[in-house]
Amino acid sequence: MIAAHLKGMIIFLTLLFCCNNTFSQAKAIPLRDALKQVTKVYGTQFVFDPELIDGKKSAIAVINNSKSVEDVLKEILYPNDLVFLYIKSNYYSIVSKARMSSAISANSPAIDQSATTADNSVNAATGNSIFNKSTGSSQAVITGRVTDEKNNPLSGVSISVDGKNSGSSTTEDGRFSLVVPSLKGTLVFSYVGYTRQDVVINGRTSLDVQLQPSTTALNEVVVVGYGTQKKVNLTGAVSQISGKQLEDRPVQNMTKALQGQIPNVNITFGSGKPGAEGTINIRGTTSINGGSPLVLIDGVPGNIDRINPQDVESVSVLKDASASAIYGARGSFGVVLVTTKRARSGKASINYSNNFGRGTQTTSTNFMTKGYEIGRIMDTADLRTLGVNYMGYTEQDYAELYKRINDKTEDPSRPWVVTQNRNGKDQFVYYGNFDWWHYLYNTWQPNSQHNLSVSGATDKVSYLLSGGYRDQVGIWKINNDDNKIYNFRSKIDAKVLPWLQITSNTQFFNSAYKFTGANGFDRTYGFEEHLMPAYSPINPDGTFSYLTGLNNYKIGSGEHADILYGKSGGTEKTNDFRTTIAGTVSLNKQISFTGNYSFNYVTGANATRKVKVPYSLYPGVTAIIPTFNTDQLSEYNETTNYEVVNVFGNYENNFGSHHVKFLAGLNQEHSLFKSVTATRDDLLSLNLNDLNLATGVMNESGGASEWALQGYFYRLNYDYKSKYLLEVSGRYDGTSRFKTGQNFGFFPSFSAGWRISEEAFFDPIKRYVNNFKFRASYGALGNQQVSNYSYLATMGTAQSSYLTNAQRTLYVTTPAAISPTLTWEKVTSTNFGIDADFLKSRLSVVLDIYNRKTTGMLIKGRTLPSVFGTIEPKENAADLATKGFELTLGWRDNFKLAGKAFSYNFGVILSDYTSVITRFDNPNNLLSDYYVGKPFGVMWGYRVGGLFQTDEEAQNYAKVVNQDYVNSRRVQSPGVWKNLQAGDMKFLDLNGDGVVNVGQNTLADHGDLAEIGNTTPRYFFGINTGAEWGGFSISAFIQGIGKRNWYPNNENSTFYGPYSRPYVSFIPENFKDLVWSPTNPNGYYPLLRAYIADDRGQTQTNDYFMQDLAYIRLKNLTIGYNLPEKLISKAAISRCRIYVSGENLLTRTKLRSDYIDPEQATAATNGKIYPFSSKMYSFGLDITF
Amino acid sequence: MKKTNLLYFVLLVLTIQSCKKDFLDRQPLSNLAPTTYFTNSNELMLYTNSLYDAMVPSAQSLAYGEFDDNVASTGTSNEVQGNRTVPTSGGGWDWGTLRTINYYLDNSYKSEDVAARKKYDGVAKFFRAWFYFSKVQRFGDVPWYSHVIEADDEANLTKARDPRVLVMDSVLADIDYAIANLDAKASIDKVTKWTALALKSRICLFEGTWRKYHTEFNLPGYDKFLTEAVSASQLLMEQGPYKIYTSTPSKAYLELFASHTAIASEIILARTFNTALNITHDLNRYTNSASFGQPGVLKTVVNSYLMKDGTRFTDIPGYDTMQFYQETQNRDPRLSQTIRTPGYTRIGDTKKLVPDFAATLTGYQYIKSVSEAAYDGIGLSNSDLPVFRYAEALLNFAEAKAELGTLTQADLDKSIKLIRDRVGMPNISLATANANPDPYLASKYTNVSSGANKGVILEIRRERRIELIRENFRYNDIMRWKEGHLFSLPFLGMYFPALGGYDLDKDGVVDVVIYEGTKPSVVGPQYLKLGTNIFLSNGKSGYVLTNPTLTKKFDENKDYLYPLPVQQLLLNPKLKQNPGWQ
Repeated sequence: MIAAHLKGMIIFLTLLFCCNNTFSQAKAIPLRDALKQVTKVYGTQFVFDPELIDGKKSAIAVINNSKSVEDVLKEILYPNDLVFLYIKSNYYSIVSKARMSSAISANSPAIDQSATTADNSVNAATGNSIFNKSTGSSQAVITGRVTDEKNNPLSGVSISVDGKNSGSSTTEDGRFSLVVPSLKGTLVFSYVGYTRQDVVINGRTSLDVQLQPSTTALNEVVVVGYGTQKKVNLTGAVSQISGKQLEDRPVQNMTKALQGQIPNVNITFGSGKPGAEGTINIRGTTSINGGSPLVLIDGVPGNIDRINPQDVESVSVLKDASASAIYGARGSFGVVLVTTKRARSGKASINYSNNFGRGTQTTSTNFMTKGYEIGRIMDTADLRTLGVNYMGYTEQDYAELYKRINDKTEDPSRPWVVTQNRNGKDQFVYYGNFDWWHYLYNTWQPNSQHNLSVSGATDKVSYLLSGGYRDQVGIWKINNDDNKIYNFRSKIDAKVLPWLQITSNTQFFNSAYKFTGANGFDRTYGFEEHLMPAYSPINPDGTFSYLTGLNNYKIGSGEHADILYGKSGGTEKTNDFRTTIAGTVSLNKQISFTGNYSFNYVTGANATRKVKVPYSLYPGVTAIIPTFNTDQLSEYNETTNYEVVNVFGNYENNFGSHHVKFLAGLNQEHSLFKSVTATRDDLLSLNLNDLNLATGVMNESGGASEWALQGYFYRLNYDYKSKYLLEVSGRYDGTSRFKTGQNFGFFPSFSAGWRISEEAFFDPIKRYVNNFKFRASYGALGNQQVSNYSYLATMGTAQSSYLTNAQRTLYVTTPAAISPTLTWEKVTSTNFGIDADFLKSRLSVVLDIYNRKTTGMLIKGRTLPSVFGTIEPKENAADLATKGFELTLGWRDNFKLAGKAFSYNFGVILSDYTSVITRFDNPNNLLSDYYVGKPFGVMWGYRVGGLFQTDEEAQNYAKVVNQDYVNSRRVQSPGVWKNLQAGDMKFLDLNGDGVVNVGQNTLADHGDLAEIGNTTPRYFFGINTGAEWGGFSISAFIQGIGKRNWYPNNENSTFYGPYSRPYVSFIPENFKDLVWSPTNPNGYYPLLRAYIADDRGQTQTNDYFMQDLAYIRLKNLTIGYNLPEKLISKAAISRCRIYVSGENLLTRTKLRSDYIDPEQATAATNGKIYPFSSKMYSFGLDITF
Repeated sequence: MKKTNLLYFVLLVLTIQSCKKDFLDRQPLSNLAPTTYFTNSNELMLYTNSLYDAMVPSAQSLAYGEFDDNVASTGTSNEVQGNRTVPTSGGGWDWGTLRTINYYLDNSYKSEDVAARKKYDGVAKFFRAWFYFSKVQRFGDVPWYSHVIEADDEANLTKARDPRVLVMDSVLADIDYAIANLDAKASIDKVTKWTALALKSRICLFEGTWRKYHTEFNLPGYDKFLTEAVSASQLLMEQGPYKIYTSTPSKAYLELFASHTAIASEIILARTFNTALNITHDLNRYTNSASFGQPGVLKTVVNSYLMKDGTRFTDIPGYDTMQFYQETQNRDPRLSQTIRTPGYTRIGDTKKLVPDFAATLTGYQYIKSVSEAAYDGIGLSNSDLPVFRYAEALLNFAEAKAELGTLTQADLDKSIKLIRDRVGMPNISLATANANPDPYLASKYTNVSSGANKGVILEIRRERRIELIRENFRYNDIMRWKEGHLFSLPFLGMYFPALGGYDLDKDGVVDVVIYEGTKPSVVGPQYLKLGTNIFLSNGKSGYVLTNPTLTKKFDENKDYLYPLPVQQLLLNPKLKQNPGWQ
């Protein structure tokens, strides 16, 4: 600390010299110029009526900082019969001596309460005001006092007349005095953190005003656990963004809106299914057991994607242990606090907004559609690997296909499906060029949203009602899938007694996803294979295709027939109802108590109908597709009852310059889960879906579990003049998830801050660096994210496929092995941070560096010999260390452009982390498991030295190096294809033993494996920029990651095409150019063989196919326009905004495939997942009445 | 109400609420606690029920296999290619089921119902005997555990393998306990006293012959196990409720396996299937489609069938170049109930069918265990599959006695004769067999000593191979007889003297055409292009040669046992690798 202090001093002294002026004495100069110099030298600002100083002189010609600023002012003002009022540091107002003394004492005037919109950025305290000329003629003085909502005086409140720059501001005791051109017009009172108030003067010369705190003043007040904190007084690592930053994007949920907005809040998406939710991670690898942040919505745990983004006032993220310690055993991997909007102003207002968009896939969907070409590729790949011909076509068949090779649509003279006699029977034979992708899937999918809210407040009651509707259509072209979401919220605050405030906050969420097909989309292996362009989905007689009769494979596994038939399908529905009632009792100004109770009722209901699906191979003969031969309805229902109680007390007081805040309370939660599944076969109707109509075999199962939490928490804040800051907090937490006696833990944390910018020695550079704070924190937290009963040996029931008396055999399961000492994983974290604002807060910098240790991770203990007979019991036996940083840079400014205000902003966030295993019981350091020192995400694999260009080269290599172990499929190939030859991959023999293999697969003997990459995503970044001028606004948001290795799973047919299996459905359009051949020696893919990706499964991981998922993406671009007030006021509209917006418009990635989204690759390494349709164009409207 | 009073009231209520002592004590709501379980008959039954699915072989294991010596397929086992490698992990060294069994045996004392406890202890011990038998078959010596091993029990976790003799004596004790305590009431899907006897007969025959022939392991007491095999089989024959299923000789054998519901008069334990419950298998499809490796019965198997009059097919001059039609005439009726022979029709159909070369590599296409054509689709077969059946016990009885040297004609009359009577075949004559041991079989089973019983031992082995084909006995039989060299013989099928068209069933229509170059104009439904669809052992003539590129090997010094996974040797240094696998 002392070292830092000294270093700081040196920097400031250097700066101080730079600003020093030479000293000289000369004759009198205009007072105006003297004041200019004072401003330059001291960074002081003044507010006054320009006429007061016109023609006046200063006795001192050259101002330097040899004296205190007040001494200088006395010298230059007193001789001119002027006095100055100290308002706040470096802020003075100048008035005439005479008017000061003749001010009339205050009456109790009426105040116009009509507050304006949230524009609270007005700051009259700009140095420029000094040079503006007043145009008023007659003058008057108004005096008064400004207080906060608790009647405490507010100092530094700026006051201006009709929004003009002439103005004043309040003194330390909240008093002001202002010269006005006349006693007409309006006074505007504004203060950071409070709602602006416009007061009509109406002839009065005395005004008392009470300002109400503004909830939108997010730059100043930050939501923290069980309360708020002024941002300048924060000592923990907390980031907050306002709901305003999330508006006007056609996003379907909160996680989409938050992605990339906050450094080290890493949001990823798996499925692109409508309604799919995102996953939030804070600060990287948490535990090898996973672990997600605690999300609280208005103080109650909940699902962030179940609130309407339009209802969000702010999102605050608590990243380090000190910020989240108050949440004890659940805050170990960060806390996300979502605060919903409440009524803002007295007048009732109605807001309606909507958005209409169309989304398309972020990846290419252009695949080969020539039946002839694909057939030849498949046959070649299959022949070289298995010695069989995939398609089963004869040369005559190929000749037929070749005739049609350029037919994009069916030519009546050359039909794509013909009837021929084969093996003595008439059957359909397929000769098409069918574009299956675009037949099955929509290129564009519409989505829409509508939001309506009503809010208002009286001095006792405020209310907000809001409703939202979002609809997103999915990718299916035939019988669309879609997701509809309804949101409803009602929030009412009432001050029922002077000392009692009560709140009711209710939200309702309803989501329904509807799809066709027995399997939905997420399991469409069927579509990924055997959909050859030669085949057609429908036969000429209208029946569905399924078998070809020429080979033994099934067209699309019959899934297309199921979809086309349209009788099977399902729904996934969720209802989430939550209500909170809360009361706050204020005993006096210092002490208050809050209690709240929340009840949350969540239901999930899924239903799936399967039907028997017919197909035809022989004209006039239909049969049932064997994999779709069940007629069955399956219904699943689950309910969760969740209760939360919080009681806490607040104490806050000032003792001179010492400010103390104390909070303590208790929290108790209980959750009860119950589920029922019922399945029954053979329904009496094809179209009606109810179990009452089922007549066949039935099957039911249930499930129930519960958990409870109890915690006692406290937080003590102390600061001295907002300069030295200290925070101590902690929680004593108990959970039902561990054995009594081992289920309570104490989790303390400490943090401190030093606002060096408030030190006297900082003054000289304060006008460049207006805020500079060091922060440090340390804390310990627990992780109770384990299953509900993992400390208990339990026995469940199940049914086996062994039949007893023609029934499934019911049995009781064997209990798992349990460690008797199971307890919390512990997370300790250290954080150092800097908050700094430069150049009048135009430039802001936040930097945090952290170190998080997860100790006692619950893992299966030491690997035991197999004779143990079950999975090793979990023990608190592994440690992990994560290091990282996050940086936020922001620039924000405004100036006049062509007579109108032009404001713009630019921000960059950057974050990174790495993790390493520091303890793990793996004495032999088997690579198949974690080992001490293993960098998290490290990828072991072979090194490949390119492709052999000649057979000779390959054969010579094979004489020296045996790579058969990693070429198990090649070795089994028929005939000459089993030889290593031109176009094959050359695996390097790193250890020189003549054989390419894994050795013992241990750290000491890893054969030819090397650390070839790492799957940890690195260097998350986001760039936000925007500008507003004259009603127009534009904003852009760019997001990406800098580095991430990925190895496509051997089943990833999108990446490997026929190298995964010889019958994959969708082969990239330019595939032929990518394959090595003697005439294409630079082809990326090796010699065409099937199952190459499959050789030795995972252990064949190599640096040839390894990918880098680094990407940069234009996530959003929005252009908006606020219609002029003149135009809309006639329609009683107070604000009307229209905008167009685009999501994911541009992407650049190092990934070597246009057919895989770099953000989705890791979600399913086999590529079989609902694709993102997140490239979206939309327009919307936002009206407030 | 004053604000302070209200506050105190609220705080009081909440404090009382939160101090509820058991608020954090939440026991499972849908699971059971082992501490209170195992108290009655029903609980014991439900627990031991899990062992059936874990131990009773699946349809695949029961009927899809025998790629080692009875069946050729496009995919051939590593065992016969001699390219088994030492696995890193897995490799059959799995012990989960043993823990389930031992967990039961460690807890069943809690049951107050002593009779039920004895019965279900019998079930548990039946499966433990079976479990260890399988482990010994695969690995030889294995560590014996009679209790659940705790995670911190170093001594047991890292103990060395116990000698096979000790392990097998424990197996014998377990199975004897099961015989003594299990129900005597027959059940097709639950283990009973009779199932236990059948298992004991199987175990003891295996162990006895293994010890007798594998002299390299110096194992004592083979005669003890053979005697136990005899006594177990005998008890089953004398006291058991089973008999050989008969109807008409030309159908009875086929009916036994094609029946959708297991025939309980002969079958002691079956794996049962049910279409309504969607628990089915693929045996019809596996046998009749081209998708699953095209299984084909080998020529050596076909050669093994006797003539209908009991004489040996392989004694007929030119038997080895006989064509399909000729070689299938006047044979043991089981041949035409095992593979497609001329005149074959599907059950429930009258259309005559010849072997489909697209579905069978050798030309000898299975019909055993194949039901009506309606069950040919994926997952449509639902015939119950036998796990233990009476005929095996009879064969075990005869073989054990023969190996002991105590076999009499009377013994054959009460065992083999019953099996042969079903299909109308004459019984083995002890005297005739021993007087003139079959030179064909003797050339295959080279390890049978030339004692007085050599002839009958060979005949019993013939009988066993024919009767039990497709029931997954062949691999273990060859292992225990120490005849692994048989695996290195090429996989051969039907004989074709030249290229051209063949009328397999002599109905006047060409059924299959083998050609070279361009497709000939001869009309026929099956065209086989030489070098692509078919290979012949002499180039353009000879036996159908399957997997021509495959090399078959058997290493007498190591291949009788499987290797232990490397990782286990690392985790437990006292565990040593099997001979030849180091």
